Amino acid sequence: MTPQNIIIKNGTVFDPVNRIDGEVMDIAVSNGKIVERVNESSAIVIDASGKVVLAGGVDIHSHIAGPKVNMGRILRPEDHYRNLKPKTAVKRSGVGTSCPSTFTTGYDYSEMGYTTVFEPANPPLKMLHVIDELNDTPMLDKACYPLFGNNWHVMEYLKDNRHDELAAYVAWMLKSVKGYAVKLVNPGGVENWKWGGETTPLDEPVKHFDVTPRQIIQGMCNAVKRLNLPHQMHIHANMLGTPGNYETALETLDSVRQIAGANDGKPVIHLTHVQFNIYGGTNWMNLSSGAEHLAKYINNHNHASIDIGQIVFSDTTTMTADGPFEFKLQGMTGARWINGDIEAETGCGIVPIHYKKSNYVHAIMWITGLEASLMIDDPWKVCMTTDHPNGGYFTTYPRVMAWLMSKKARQKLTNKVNKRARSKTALESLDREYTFSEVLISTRAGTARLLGLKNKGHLGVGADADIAIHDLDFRKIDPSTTPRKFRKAMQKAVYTIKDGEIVVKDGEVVKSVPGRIYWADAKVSDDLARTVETDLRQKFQDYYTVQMSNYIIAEKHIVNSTPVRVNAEV
Amino acid sequence: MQTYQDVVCTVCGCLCDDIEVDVDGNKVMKARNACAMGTSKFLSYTHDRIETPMVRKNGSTQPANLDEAVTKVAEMLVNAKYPAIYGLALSSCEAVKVAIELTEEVGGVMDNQSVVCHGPGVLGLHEIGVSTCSLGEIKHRADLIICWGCNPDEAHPRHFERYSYTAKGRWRNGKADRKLVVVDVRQTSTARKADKFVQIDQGKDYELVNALRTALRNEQIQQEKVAGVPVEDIEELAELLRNAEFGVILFGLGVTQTVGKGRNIDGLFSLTRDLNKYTKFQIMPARGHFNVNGVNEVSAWQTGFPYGIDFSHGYPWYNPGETTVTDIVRRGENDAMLVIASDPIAHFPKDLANRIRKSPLAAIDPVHSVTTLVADVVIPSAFAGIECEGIAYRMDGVALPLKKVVEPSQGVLSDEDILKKILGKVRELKGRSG
Amino acid sequence: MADITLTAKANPPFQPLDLREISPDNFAGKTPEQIASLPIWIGNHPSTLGAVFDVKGETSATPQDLTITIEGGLPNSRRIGAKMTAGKIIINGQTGIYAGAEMKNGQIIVNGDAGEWAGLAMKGGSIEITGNAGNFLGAAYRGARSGMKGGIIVVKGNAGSEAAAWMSGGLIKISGDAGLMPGIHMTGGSILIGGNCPGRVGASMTGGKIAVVGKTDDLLAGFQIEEIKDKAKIENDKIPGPFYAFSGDNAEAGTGKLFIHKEKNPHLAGYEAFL
Repeated sequence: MTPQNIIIKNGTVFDPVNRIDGEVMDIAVSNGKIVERVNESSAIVIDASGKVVLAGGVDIHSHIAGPKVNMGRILRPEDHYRNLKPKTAVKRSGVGTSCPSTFTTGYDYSEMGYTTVFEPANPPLKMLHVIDELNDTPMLDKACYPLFGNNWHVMEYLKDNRHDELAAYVAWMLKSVKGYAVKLVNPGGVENWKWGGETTPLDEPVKHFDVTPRQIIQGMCNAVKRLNLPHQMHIHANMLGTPGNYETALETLDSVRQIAGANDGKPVIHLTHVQFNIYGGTNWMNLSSGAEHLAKYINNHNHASIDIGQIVFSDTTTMTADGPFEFKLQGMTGARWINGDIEAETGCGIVPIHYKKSNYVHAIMWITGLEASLMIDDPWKVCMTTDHPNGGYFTTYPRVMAWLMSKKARQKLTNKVNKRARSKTALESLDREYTFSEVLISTRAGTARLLGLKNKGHLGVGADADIAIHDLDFRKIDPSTTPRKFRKAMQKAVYTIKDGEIVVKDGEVVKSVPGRIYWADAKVSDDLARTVETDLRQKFQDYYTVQMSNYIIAEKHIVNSTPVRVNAEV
Repeated sequence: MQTYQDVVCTVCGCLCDDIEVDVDGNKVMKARNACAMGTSKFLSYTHDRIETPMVRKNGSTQPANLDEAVTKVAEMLVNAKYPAIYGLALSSCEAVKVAIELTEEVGGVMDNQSVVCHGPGVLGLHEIGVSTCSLGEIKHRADLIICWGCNPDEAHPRHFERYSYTAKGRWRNGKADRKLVVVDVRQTSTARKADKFVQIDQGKDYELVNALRTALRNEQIQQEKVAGVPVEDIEELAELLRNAEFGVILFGLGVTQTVGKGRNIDGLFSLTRDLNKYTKFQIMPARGHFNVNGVNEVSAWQTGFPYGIDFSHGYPWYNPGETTVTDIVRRGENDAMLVIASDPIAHFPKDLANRIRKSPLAAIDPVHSVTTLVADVVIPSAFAGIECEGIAYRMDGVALPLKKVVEPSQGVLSDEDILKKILGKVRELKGRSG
Repeated sequence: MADITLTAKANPPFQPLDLREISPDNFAGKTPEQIASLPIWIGNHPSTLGAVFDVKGETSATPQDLTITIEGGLPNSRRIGAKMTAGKIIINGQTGIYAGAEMKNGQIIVNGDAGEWAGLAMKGGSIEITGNAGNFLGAAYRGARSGMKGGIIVVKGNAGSEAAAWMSGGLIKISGDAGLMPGIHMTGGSILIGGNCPGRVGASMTGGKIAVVGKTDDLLAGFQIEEIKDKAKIENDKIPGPFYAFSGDNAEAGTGKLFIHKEKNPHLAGYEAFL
């Protein structure tokens, strides 16, 4: 069925990409795209007067699918018992609070006005699993970031200074396992953890491999740049969750400054969930926020973007490819612990956590995330995330948006957090309140731009008709003074339109659509591609326990497979 | 003659994916690289096949056409207030997805063979978590392999050669660089190959785990023997574990299905966690049916729960002991059952088997079994991985694509397609009645 | 005081009966007719209490003053008295799973046997079972590391396996025998077992007390003897001994206490050498 034409009339449109800031206007939709105009007599007319019309939300970093998330689901039946969702005429049943089932994930995002969500950490060996879960995650466009930071081939190519082959290998991998962007998690540190070692600083060589994390970061950043991938290198830095780690974060960012070349404005590195990576102090007792150091760096450089990984006081589940971090966390909290190391590639750890206001460390974490959001001036460099579910569930985004837009909302919670933490914070002195447009930049316009999704995150003619309409009338609701009302309006969309179809009405899914899966197809020179394939054929048998042909994922396994083709410089 | 490369073997949870299958005229002639079990499956998949759908009429089952059989199953499920759908460990994940949707549609309970194999391990996981890895991690790094209540030499014949004891890894040159320890109640063939065999009293696994954990903490054990093993030997074993560079415990039904069940695994997972304070240690179930892990995985992502999922209230609910098929049947609470490629009538205790037979019973299976013999409706199906494609999950959670190397007999469909037909009929019937 | 009597009708359904609506909290202020129309599940089939029970009597405005009497055994029932905060439920006959689950206060008396998970994650109040209790008495939800937090459970007969798993407070008294692993992972609270226990008492316990007045198998290796006591003190009761007193489970670095009757367990005499 071809989607019908739609006219959204008299809505208050916010579209930062096209510099539309609360203008009452109509938006026309035809064939899944935003168009100049449609014939009104044959179109569905949505009266959006008194409501805001936005591009659908684009999440740059949310753990929604794959082996790690599924282990989290299996670990936590008690988490599911808090949220049991029955089947409806349209929706499949499901469960879940911090580790929701796939259908529920799609519905909850869609009902919140989000239309695109990227899954940020996937072991290539288990990518068929990731893809199969994304196939079962409806309502959203999706993509995955395979993990490269502890990959044996990567480290060996780097050691041998074969940078062209490294780039070609990255291209081969993305194409073979249908990945979209390159993810590094604790580069080198996870390989060390596979011998029981710890997370490593940037210049300590990886055991048995004789390359340093710094070399991996620089080498991969360079490879990504030369491949012209749509998204820059996405990195979870070394020393995550360690007092004083802001220095490593800054070193990581600075290590690739030269790669960006002249100040061309195109970032080469995305430092993810910075909140976990920018602490001051020397131990857990004197932990402090290092947000000002990061903000200073980001404000003065254009080669880097970040997302926050804001924590929300709640009972949630931490999950990451950073195995050694999770081992340390379970040692500190005594909570349940899952570890899952993957041959020749990466690792994984899962630990449930309850962030409590009364806890000094948790309060510092909450403060750190907000400080980073407020101290970095340019919202195009900052993506709002909770690193779902690590900092909090994605369904708490409206609460985070309210904190950004309302000093009052922040202060109300600051008054309740651990007193010693509160005494050490600059948060209360920060008067900045995000404008609504700034919130939209950090939740859709900016994220889409950083992901290289030219047709998303805005409402210009030709854009994908992924649209959210929220019951938000700024004549009646001032987010700064009535943050609760703002939050409520952002929690459930009045309408969500996906690819030109109405999929949510009055906060409820009315139509289930599968969404598509993007992956990057970077064309490298034929010679180089052949060399790399020969290398891989030789090593595959030694490194892996599966055949190379079974490692490569056939497109038939992907619902709405959508390759993004780019030409590489190698 | 055509040769298929890199075919995935669909016998055990090892999912060896290097099988070369020769096919001539829609007949498998040879399966190279496979173990005896794999070879036997590839070469004798045509034996003992169910030829046609069967439906019970006037007391005896008689051949029927597929539509008639499908309608009977759909009616049985729609009319039930608490139907159970059981099996799927030998089906593809695609079939599992349809089975979940069907169970949700009829408000029933969906369970798989985990309940009688590694389900208790999941209960241990809920309480403790688990430190595990992909099989290649063992191949490259393990210098100590513990087989606890499992016998890979006979149940997973290529495990050692491909993934563990004798495999050549990056830092381990086969068994020369590894130690094998077997903990079991009898001297299995694996135990005979081991560097150390720890023979324990029947049903005393938890006691030994607890003693090892106590010894690891350097606490005094005020007994002479635990589980029949002298305390000095236990302390020596604890030292062996602690001093490994990379240890792994492989465990089987000899510990999941013996006294204490899930608590034995709770103990083993705790032991593994404790060992990581001293060195690197991992643990992994040696899964039996080739895709029992896949049923758990797909069930978990679609419903949140890995087995024993109750949709009777419209949402998924899970509590093994309440929502598991064995317990439901024990309490006599189900009023219909659809079995997919499993044989509960033969494998469950006799009183449970008798109770299953009290209410309508349907079976989908490629081959004859005791269950298909007594079922009210029987539908023949194709073998996943031989006669139809699909995805399956290895014991370490690596998903692999199954190949179709021959065509099934005419009219024989995959589990996936049969279940889709039943689901379609169920919706038709519900639409009519509603 | 007001009384409501639910009398099970003949030939009740055999599918699971979700009866979570049966509690004084839900009945207070309702007429028998209104009570009869409260929702239940028969398997996957939504129904009403009136389909399974004849409802008679008078209710009260508040739950504190209300006693609900259930006549007839329903072994397939679920969640009778779940989450109740006040009043009383008397069950004359067998009851099914989750009786008194997450109960906060009030009283449940089962004159008969109770199924699994009676008093699951109970916070307060009391449950008395005159017959036997199933497995997982006063235990925790799957994956929840918190079982019974408070209140009292008294079982006159025997209890099944894994009673009081993850218990952190309250008291469980079992007059008869207990199944395997009573008090597994318990962190606090007390268990008194009047009869025998097959073994693994207090596995992985880190706190709390368990007394076994009858026989038990070998203790787990994680327990060390501390002393011999004339009496074991369990809440307000002093149980006559003598008892071997142990501390553990050292496998979990625990400091729980076990009191095992000396004379009933001569096979433990070897421990005296360590005193």
